[in-house]
Amino acid sequence: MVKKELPKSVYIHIPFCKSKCLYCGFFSKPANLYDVKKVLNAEIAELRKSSFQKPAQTLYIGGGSPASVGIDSLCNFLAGVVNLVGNVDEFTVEINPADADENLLVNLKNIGVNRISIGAQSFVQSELDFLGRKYSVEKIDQIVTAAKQAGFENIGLDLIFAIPGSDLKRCRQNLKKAIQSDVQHISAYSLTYEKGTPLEKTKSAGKIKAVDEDTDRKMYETAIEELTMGGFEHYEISNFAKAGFQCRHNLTYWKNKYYLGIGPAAASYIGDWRTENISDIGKYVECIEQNKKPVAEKIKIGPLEKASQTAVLNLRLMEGVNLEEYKKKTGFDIYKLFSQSIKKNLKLKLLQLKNGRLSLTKQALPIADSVLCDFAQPDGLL
Amino acid sequence: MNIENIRNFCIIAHIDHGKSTLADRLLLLTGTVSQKDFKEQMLDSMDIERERGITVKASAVMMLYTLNGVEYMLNLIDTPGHVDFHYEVSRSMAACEGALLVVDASQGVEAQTVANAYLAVDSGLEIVPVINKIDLPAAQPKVVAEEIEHILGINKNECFYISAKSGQGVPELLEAIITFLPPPVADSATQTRALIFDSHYDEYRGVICYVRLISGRLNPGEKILMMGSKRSYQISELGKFMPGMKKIETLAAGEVGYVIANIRKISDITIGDTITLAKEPAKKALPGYKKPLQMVFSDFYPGNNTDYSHLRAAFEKLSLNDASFTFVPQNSPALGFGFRCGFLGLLHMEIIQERLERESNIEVVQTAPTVTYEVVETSGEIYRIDSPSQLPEKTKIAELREPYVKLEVITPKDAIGSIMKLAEMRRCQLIKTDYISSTRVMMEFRAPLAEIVYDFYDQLKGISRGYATMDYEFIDFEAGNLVKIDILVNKAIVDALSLIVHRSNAEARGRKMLVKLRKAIPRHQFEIPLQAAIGGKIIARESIKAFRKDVTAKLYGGDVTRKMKVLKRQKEGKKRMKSIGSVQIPQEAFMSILDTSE
Repeated sequence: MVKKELPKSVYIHIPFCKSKCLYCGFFSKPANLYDVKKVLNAEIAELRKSSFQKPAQTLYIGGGSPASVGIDSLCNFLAGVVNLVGNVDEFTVEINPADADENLLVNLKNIGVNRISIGAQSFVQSELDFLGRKYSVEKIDQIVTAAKQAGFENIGLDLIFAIPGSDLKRCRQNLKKAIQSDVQHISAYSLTYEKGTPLEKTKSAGKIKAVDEDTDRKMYETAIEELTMGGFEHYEISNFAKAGFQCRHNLTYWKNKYYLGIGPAAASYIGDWRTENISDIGKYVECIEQNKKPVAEKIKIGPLEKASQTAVLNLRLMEGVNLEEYKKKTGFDIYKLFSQSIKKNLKLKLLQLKNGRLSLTKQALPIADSVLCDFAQPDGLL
Repeated sequence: MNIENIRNFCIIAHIDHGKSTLADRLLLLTGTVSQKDFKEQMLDSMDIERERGITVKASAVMMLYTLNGVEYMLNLIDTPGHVDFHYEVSRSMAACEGALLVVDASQGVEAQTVANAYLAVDSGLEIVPVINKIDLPAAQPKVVAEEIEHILGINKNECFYISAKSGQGVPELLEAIITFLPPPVADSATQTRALIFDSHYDEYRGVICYVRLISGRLNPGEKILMMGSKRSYQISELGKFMPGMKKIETLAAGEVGYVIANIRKISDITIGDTITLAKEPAKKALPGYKKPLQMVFSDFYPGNNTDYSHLRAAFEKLSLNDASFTFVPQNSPALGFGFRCGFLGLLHMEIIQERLERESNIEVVQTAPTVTYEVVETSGEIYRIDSPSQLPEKTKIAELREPYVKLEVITPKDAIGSIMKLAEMRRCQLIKTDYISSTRVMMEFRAPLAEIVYDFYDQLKGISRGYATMDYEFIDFEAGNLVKIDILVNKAIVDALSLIVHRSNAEARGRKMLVKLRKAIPRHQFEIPLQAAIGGKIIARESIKAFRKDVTAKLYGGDVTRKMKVLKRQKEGKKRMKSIGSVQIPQEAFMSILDTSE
């Protein structure tokens, strides 16, 4: 019998926010409407009952805004988590500048958190206001400084570009500011109008105009340019890191390795199954209390689907697909599964083959999905 | 029955003028159909006919009526009235001696009234003019009678005034059929000759031939010979339509009925052919037999829910009952395997399309209809082609000829100006204008069929607020300044998009095609140049810009399942299009570019 491989990465979702940003597609609810303690206890219970490698390698606390539950609740919760998960290599907590202060950061450091991901988004106040972020530009600087002072050596921050009203000049300014804050990791995302969000509704109603396609593309290219010049290595489509500071937890996703997701709406990938937890917080808690698995959806990943997902996810990384490793992991020769797609994209210079790796070329990046979709299903299968 | 007491007649009328209603009324009046069994438009057997209010298949029904103590046999032959089916109409008329010309009292004489009336005159039929719908408030019977006199030279005092709907005047008309229409001429020849004026296919009994006995007689069991096709059969059943099929013992000269003779395929017999007895064949066949001329061609390719074999099966089923619809396998590098279909005209094509969808529930990709061209090569060889891709190299062509038709339009006079403009745009030459009444005009044009085959009729209706009507008839092929437009997508010619047009509007047409293509083809990862060329020279250009951004910003654990679905759909979308080189062209694009509307 094959020993079931256990996930080495754990993700914990804190489904609470003080206020919902206009562009957010994540699942979260206002903390004050719930018995937060009860929910967090349920998550501990779910964690206790789950199988994973101990100690795990990466632990990631995301949301929502973890700190919105209050510093005490959060720290107690995290202490409980650490108890179960052990001493991990990379322990990340997401921070919303509106909900953070020096005190929080010091406490987190004491619990063992060694990586902070700050959702800065923009260094332009009007843009922060547009997005519905509830803090000032100055606050971002304060939090970055406080994190460093608290002893964090692995700090990341998120940027959103192509916000309506923005232009190339402003985009560059934002990037330069982010680089100046001397952090170790920067994620740069083009503003996405997720279905169902207030932002998307405003756009559909014609009240706001999205940045045009060409400018959006140029902004992306500018981000790559500035961040690379600023000493960051472009390692994934939207992610940049100084040497040694790539986000190991997220690499789990892109290398298509197993991970455990805890909490309402959290996703897991273990063995042949991808699962998603119940989003409804009340129902989630009920499930846990009834000693049932809080799974809303589960999908079996067969060998061909796994091969497709591995190809798509690997290609998100600049290093691309390592052909040898691909074969070991999926059992397939990628050329056999995707021969036409590979040939076509190589010819169009959207893919390149270098040192046994197949990866996206520079010019493919802005239109990566048009290449990636070719790997969504093996050729000849449709 | 004494041949003197037989009357063979047809009803000719413009669409919706009341032909079918009158036929219904006659059936009831003669007791051929009881009130209990009656349903409207009894003789229109196909759903499509009933719904569209048109007669597609001819029907023959025998009615018996006693006048002044004498029993008469009245054979009503119901004819298709539409321009597309001229040949069928003329063959039905060849089976008659008389015709009731029905004109709507509120509409007056229309294009098909005229066209069919002339056909009747040419066939030597005695015509009884009938003005119908006199009960309508808008009816102007006297005006219409004047129109009839003016156009057809029939004395307006000979008109009968009826309302087929209410029955008013119909008994008098019935009498008139007997008193004014002549009986069949007794043919002294002893050899049997019967005219096949129509047929239909029955799943169980095979082909049913509708015949008019000209001389001699037919009996069940006899061996017959088709004089045109030279095929022989044996009569298994003989009968009449009353209106349902009823077996009889013998069919005599002057009579109308049906013959069943184990004929498996409708294409085995030809309308207009002569049936004679094998044991004593007639010396000469009846005149007027010819193969129906197809005027319009279109390629059909299987759509998304269909494959080639389904389409073939569907066409085979349709052709069971339609000998003038043809389909031959066709292959296009762009669209794959399909069929080149031939039709008598646009209405015929529409009927086939509709029947295809309705009866076989099939989706098709169809190219816009084209006409036949006649090529005269420099070598002297002359032949016809029905697709631009069959055109030889320019250097080999001495002359390219296109079909011309005599186009007759009847319109209220206030639309004359717009119609003249439309005609001019379509290269039609005005031959004459004739006032048929104080408000209405008949215009005759010599028109290239290619210019009117697609949407001329729709345009005509549009500019005349629906009042104008048209009819056309093939005249000849005339050499024209015709050129072939080739369309290049991403620098390669796509033959399925080639079109033959007149030099005068070639550029405009080419440009229009490119605009439609540009809208129909999705953006690709690279820019796609579109070009229209004539004889290798580019006459128009368009370009489809590449898409600039198509990347998902965030793809983390919880996004995988959803994103994979989206990407799969994106890949499937690509598959649904036809690849021409590295360009994906959706099936709709092939149709849309050939549409010349703005």
